Amino acid sequence: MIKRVFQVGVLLAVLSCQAAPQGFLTIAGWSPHGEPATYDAAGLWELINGGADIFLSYGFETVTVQNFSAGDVTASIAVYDMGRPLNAFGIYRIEAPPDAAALPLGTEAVVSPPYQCLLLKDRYYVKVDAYEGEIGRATGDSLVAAIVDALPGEATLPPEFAALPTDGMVAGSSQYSRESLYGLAELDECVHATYIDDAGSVYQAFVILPTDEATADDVWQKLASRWKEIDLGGEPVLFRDVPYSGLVGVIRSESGIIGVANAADKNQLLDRLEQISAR
Amino acid sequence: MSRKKAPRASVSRRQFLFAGGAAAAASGLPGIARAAEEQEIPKIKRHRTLGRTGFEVSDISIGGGGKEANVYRYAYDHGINYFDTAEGYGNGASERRIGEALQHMDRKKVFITTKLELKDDETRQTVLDRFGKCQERLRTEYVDALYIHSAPSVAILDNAAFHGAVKQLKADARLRFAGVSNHGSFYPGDEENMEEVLVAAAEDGRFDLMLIAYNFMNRDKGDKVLAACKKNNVGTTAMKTAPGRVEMEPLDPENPSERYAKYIDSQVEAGEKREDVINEIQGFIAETEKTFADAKPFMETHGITDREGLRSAGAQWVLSNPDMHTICIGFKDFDTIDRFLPLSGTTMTRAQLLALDHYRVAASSLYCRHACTECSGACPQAVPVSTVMRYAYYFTEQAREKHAMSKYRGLGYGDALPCDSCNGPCAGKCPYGVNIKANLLAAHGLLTLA
Repeated sequence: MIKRVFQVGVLLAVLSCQAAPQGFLTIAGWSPHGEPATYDAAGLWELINGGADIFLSYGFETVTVQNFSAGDVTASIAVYDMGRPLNAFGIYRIEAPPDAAALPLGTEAVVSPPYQCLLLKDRYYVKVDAYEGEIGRATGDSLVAAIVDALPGEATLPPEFAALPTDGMVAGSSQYSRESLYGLAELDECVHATYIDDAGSVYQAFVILPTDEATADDVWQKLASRWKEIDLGGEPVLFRDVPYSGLVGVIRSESGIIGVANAADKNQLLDRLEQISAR
Repeated sequence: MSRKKAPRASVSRRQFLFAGGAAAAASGLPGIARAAEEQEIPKIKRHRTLGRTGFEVSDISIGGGGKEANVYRYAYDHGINYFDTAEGYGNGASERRIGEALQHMDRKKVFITTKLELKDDETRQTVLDRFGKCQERLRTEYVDALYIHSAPSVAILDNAAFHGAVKQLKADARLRFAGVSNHGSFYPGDEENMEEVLVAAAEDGRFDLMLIAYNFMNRDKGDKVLAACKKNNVGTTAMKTAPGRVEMEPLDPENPSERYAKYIDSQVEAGEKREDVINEIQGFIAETEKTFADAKPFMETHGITDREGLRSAGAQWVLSNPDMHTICIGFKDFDTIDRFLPLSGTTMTRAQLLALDHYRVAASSLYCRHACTECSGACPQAVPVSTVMRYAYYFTEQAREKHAMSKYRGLGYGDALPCDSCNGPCAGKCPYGVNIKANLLAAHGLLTLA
């Protein structure tokens, strides 16, 4: 038994959980407890179990976690390095509760009293979970601000979102999906957002990444082999029906392949494509 | 933003070959060819009683995170009535998607399970609080089952906080049943084997449901759990129903690939004769080729000419076992649901089962089994064998290449596994005869696209 425990200790130490770099985070007003620990992709299962799957699908690299306390609150603070800002943005937007009020801190942040704060900055996604005491709004706000100050990098939207037209976009609706956008196996690597059309109806628009011409050609051919084709001002539009959400269609543009979803019929699809590609 | 001239649709040779291969694979499986010909919308055709819960569960179910709410709706509308999720899937995002989809369903007709990973300092109240959040996200008055997520040991089955909370939730009519999931350890030797935990859970009496890693290559371990579940009338759900498979690239001794060259050089530096190393590699390649030659009649008869065919056949093999009540698939898109639904209600004939068994025996020395830790401690470099092979499984059998490669990259081996400079004390340590080193090297090549 002792041997087994020793083996486990050695294996875990070697494989998954390494000492974090000195000076992991200095958070004003909060005291660290113990040593920070860093987990790689293999060790992430040990930290968050089956929840690791979705992080790994978004390009997770490492997470460093440490406990901090202030007053009667003790919380674990986990800093996920997602490799690039777009990946961090994707996982943040999945995990952030939709009903939580966003804070103007970092790239984005939310406080969900009484137990959790989430924030995004550059390639880092940070998750704060209280396990003693409660994180109220004021405590959460100041803690998030302190973490944002302590993290390196830029607090700006990932540059890939520049491919999405801004005119008509619903604020805060942009997202990045690595695979199967709208439940369609053929739509991977998309940035997308909610828009309002000229008639006031809400719909989704997306751009397939990366936007270089060679990739766009491959993706277009793949879609063309499965989707139907119609004409829009002499240029081909590819489209298909999506269960429960109408038509989705794409057109080539300078930004690569741009598409719209949730169209009730072909006319609406073409109108929206016309609008979005003109924006 | 101006528009760019798009190329007219054309079908490349590669696309043509791919499409042809997929069609050939599909046509050998019952139901799929018919569905394609008649453009029928496939539906669930068989239900089984989910142990003592009494629920008539569809033989195919849906689980995991990372999918749109409409994928759940689509599954439901095609007869799938068991949804598996967990608090930890996307910080509750998976539960939110199900909650959204549930608004379009008859709640009484679906069985919703969620899972909580138990922490060391868990109390009855923290379990109740966490469950309450799950329930809010699921937007339901009751959850059908709460599982201990990935139970790491027999000891955790006695967790007082969990049982106290379950008792309270049942009394409040917010929860109906309790269960346990386990899909094997992630590191050699760090946890107890799946069957130890799940057999103990089945015999415990407080758990009504089990979620089990089960396929035709690891049946010996899974069957022990199923027997215990049957004896105790516990409901059973299978996950990871397709086995992994890794193929070797050929070796030209005069002009070896970079990967082989590196391995050969390292072995020579370690004192091995170059000729012996080449013979070792060629022996394994020959073994691999013989395996697939032996299995060829079965594969051709049943259309298993690619990984998708093997995935379908693996699922059908589990569906043929009446002691496994449902198989849980992580459908992320509509197409995959369409491909699997025709398997509902089918069972393999005795001849098919024998043929698959033949494949199992033939491939036994190639397949690293889910939830197996028998080689634990055999590697002096502490390479996590089952973890690496699991990533290869994600790559080859779940077609999640980027995901698999990303996970493997996270192990930090870069361009070379430690096996390159090791004389292989792991040889003979697998009770199923798997050549651990050769499989690891093959997996490394696959996962790094070397």
